[in-house]
Amino acid sequence: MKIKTLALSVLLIAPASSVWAMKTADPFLVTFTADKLEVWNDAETTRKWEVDVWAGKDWHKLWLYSEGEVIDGKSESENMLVYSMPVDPYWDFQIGLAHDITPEASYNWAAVGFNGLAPYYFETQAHLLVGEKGEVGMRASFEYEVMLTQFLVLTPEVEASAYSEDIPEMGIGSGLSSITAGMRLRYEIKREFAPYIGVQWSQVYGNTADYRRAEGEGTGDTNLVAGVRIWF
Amino acid sequence: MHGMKMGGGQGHAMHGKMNMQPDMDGMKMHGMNHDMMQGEKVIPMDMNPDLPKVKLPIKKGPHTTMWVENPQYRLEDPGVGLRNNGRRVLTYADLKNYHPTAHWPKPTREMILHLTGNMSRYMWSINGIPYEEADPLEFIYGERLRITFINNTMMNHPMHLHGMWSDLETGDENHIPRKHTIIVQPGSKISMRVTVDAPGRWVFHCHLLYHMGGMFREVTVVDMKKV
Repeated sequence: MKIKTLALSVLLIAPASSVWAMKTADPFLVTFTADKLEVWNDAETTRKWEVDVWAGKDWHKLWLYSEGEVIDGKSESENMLVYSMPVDPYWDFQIGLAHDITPEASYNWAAVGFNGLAPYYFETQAHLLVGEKGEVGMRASFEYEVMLTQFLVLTPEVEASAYSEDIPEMGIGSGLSSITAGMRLRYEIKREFAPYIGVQWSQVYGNTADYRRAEGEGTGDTNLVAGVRIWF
Repeated sequence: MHGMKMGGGQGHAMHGKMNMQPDMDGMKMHGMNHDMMQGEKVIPMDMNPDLPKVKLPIKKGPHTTMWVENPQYRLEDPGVGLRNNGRRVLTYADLKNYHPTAHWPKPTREMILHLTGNMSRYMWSINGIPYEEADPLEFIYGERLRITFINNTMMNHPMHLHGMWSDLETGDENHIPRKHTIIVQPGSKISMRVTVDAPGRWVFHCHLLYHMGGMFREVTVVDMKKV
């Protein structure tokens, strides 16, 4: 795993150096951002990651999103690989595939949506998903950055998901499925390296909540979190 | 205030043939005895409103965040970070040529260059077209060309023309300062005149390294007698 990471890092950094040489106004770039690498104060000391990688030029990019949790050594994640193109000064249109993984099963979706900056500086992602059996899903997140000082940044964030039908093997229920809201305060020691603390509230609804209860799990929680945000 | 003189011999190494008399290319900043109060609006007068405009393509899109609707001349504006700081700050409005320039030729054509970009995507261009996709700008050998920059971005762009002088319009026809590089302030416009006296191919660009890739043009000086 470490060797893989190292090899990936080298691959990522090498093309970025062409920017400095100014060979072109539109170099091929790769950016890796781990927006969240954190530990929760719950009974299972849940660990959570949220990672974005993009690669490409000004007009054509590939984005990889991965977001997940490790609870008691078992991981659950939502992953998405999309082609991304600018359609507005602040918005990219994205189309691709999503892949959800739970300890028991996995599920594929076709994904289409937008990533961009809404008025008043809300960083927004909204994707419509069409599942293997034709189910329709919607996932959206909104984030805002409050620069308290040049180094201290407060980021409130809200995420929501909803689905047209139940997908029992994935623990997904129809209707509004989940809402999470978080508030994280990071200190940018360097722009690229910022430890943070925060609080995260999450709640599942409807049939999704029923599936959780059937497994003997809770349907809502508030946790303190601590982690680090890194990018390169 | 001590003047600043740019002798022909110390000129920019990349500049081409200059047709100036050695005593004609001086530039002095008159700080003490200028007759204008700071803050007074300075508006360069276009002596010929019917000046033919060069037609250039313009491309709008996700790579251009905004287009200024009513850009103003802001020669007397010290710029971001230097305004109202309790000190007197010299501006372009204070620049005056040491020598009279009233006899310099008047421009016969005007070229409007929109400085464009998208800061968050970090894409820069002129008239919405980056260098890689742009045709060269054609200057005609022997002409006096007026170039008006309109800055459609929120950053300064020091525009630098190689091979020929950039004569800054300050509204004072008799003391036109002669420059290498003209700073275009965010959201504003500024005009300069060029005596096209150097045949060949020249570069014309924003001097900020990170903008230069897109905000860049080749200039071709065309000799109409040889075409």
